[in-house]
Amino acid sequence: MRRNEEDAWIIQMAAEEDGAFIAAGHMGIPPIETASLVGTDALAARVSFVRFVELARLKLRLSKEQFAARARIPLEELVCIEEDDVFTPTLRTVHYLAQFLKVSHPKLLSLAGLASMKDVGFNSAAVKFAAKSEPIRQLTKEEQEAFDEFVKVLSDR
Amino acid sequence: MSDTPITIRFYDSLKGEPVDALLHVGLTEDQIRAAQADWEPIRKQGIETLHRQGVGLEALPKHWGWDWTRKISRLGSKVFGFYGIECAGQMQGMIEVAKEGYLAKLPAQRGKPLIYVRYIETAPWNIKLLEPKPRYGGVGARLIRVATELSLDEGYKGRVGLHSLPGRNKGEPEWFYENTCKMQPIEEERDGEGLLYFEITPEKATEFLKGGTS
Repeated sequence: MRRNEEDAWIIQMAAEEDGAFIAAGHMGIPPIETASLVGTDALAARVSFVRFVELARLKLRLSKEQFAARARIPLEELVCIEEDDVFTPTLRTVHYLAQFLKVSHPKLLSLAGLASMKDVGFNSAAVKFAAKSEPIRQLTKEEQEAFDEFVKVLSDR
Repeated sequence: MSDTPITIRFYDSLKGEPVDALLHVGLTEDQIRAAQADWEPIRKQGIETLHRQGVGLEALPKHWGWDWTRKISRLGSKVFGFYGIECAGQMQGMIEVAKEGYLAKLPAQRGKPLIYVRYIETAPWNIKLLEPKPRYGGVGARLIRVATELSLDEGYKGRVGLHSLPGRNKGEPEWFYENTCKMQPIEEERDGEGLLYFEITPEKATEFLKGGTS
């Protein structure tokens, strides 16, 4: 495409698009679930679950294969939890994860989006954890602290 | 693995004229992390501001929690492709496509291979809803052009499909794909989240790439 044709095309498209919101993909959380919860807590909880599992594995210095084997969950499901934006884990997997990571089963279920939790303090802790933790390969001191703090909240049965 | 970026023309909305930009064919982990770090806080802050201003949950953009760094494991795959447009040292939009595994749904094209857009997003400062004066224009269309040209390169004749985030009003995703990109909605192909499926035919792809017939 010649430069003047390319210019004409992008000028036309810029006018037509007009700053539109154009995202396509997956929402990552069902719209009904979003609407039924206050603010952005539900989305933050979903992010928290993914980051929590990922950071727990990194803290234990386990590969995905090793973590899945020790937690007694299917490797495919662990990979989906960590990498698929729209994946919802099974009840069984969350049960085994809670057992393996020694955290509250109901709270982990809530974090995974499989149950609702009306505990404001817990939701607030999940939002805080989601905000502080970033998906990196090794835990920073700040992430380590955020993780440990959130484990305390999760472990409180 | 990233190829040498290609210089393309892009629309600078503030200057009101086309400028040079870089099309990255195959993004690197660092590029994705940098874009996510740039976009995420502005996207979240923008959406939260809308919510505080009284915009209902159903009307808010639904990509609040998107995290491109979670796609890094797919980098280097022959099946998936990542592209990004960089201008002024920042990523202005990114797209992830699947080159295999998806077939056309439109009756006349049914069963033929296409390029499926897994994810596409423009930087939050290019979205009028979040930034009243978007920095660059035509970002989404330029990314869809990338997918369409890839479809031609792969021998798919311009066929592209995707599931759009909701919103049929002007300036919203479904409106954009149907009007700007000439894609056809197929109600029966909504996904598990209820997202509407859009597909472009070879004829409409040619029209889209040619422009000038809006």
